[in-house]
Amino acid sequence: MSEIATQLLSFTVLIPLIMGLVRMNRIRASYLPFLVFLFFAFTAELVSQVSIRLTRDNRVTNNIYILIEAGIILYLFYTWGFLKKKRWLLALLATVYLVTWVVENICMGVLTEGFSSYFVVLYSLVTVFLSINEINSLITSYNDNLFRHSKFLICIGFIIIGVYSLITEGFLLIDPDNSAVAWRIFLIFVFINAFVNIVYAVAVYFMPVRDDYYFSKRFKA
Amino acid sequence: MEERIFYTTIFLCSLLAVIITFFITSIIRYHRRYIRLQRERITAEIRLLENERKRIATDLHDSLGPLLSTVKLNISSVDVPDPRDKAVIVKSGKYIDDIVRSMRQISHNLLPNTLERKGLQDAIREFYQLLGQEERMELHVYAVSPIHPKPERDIHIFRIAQEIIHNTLKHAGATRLEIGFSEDEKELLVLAEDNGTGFDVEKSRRNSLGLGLKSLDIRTDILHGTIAIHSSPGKGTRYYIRIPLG
Repeated sequence: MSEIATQLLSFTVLIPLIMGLVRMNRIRASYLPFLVFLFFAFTAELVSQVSIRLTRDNRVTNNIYILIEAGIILYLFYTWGFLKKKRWLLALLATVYLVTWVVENICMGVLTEGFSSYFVVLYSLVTVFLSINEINSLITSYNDNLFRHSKFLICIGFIIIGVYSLITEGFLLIDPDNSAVAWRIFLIFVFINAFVNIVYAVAVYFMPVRDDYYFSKRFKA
Repeated sequence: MEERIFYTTIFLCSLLAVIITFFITSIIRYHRRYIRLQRERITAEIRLLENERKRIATDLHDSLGPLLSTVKLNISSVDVPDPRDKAVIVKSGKYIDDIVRSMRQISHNLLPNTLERKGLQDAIREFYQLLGQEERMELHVYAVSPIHPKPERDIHIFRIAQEIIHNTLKHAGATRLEIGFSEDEKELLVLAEDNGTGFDVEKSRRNSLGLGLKSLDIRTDILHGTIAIHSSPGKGTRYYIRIPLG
């Protein structure tokens, strides 16, 4: 597959982002961190491409981005309610994230020299667990079709990407010099990432409208 | 060799993904069936409760009411010469009036006739009038579009409105409560807003020992609707209720 095709697939994140920007004023506040997440994903992709063209290296931007992404995902689960009820867990996870990132990137010098695989493994695992927990909560509380529920779709996306990140990073940690297999795994990742971006676009479409906005249209029209 | 290992890994991962997906789908299906059965049970219990209330209200209104009126008529027609006996008869008549009034109140609380005769809005207004709290708080009930009566649904919405009025009177310290209705071909919207002190919704849901908020949730759930309560200390309370039609 050509490099341009790979890049185009990476930028599929623009689809949910544009849809999100169009609906931004109408959706519930608890979904806004997800739009921020999409915005940072797009920005990171853009900066990464520019960085590769200028310096042939995107390690610094990538390592900084994953810390921001992990933080936004934690905040998203906070606004959805689970981590709001368990603030101690939020504080614990945030601390563990920060400590792991600092140790790996600053102390071990990975920031400019490589990719912080241990941090990715940690935050992917946590995100997958939080997503499974959210899906379980939805199963008991939501009566309609789950595939039309934005939270469910976002969590499915997180689980797919999280599990695949664990496989990729696990492979890189076990056999870092096998570039041929690494390239193939990355190639599959590009497709999975594009698929998840489409899932995110559907999730943005199904994001519930703010109650006050929805009701004001009918009651004060 | 390397290629074979790669494809074997991909195949095994895919197989594992299929098994996990089937496992999760199966759990979701059975869990939802369990939830549906639970909801059906709660709905049946509440329907039974409402039917029983209706039966008691009808018995009180149709059997006991006329009987008491006859008793009062009979007592009033008794002519006694002794003024002390006359006073006893007048007093008894007043007691019978009190009993009839209380009985009507109980009968109305159990099931307001107005709900079936005049509809939701009048039933809520009448309920509030009977509470006698108009000086403490003003209640404004309105509809932005015609509400088509549906007895099965309306009784639940009436109970929800009752609960909201009780909550507002008891906790909000509000001087005005507005309950609005809007119906289209898709759904019925109920918007209730007060100018009271407001409260921390999450905290109340967690710590509340009463059945108030739970009752709102259950009644809305029976109607396959959703309820959202927006409130914070000092900013009043808004109840957003959406009930799908059909």
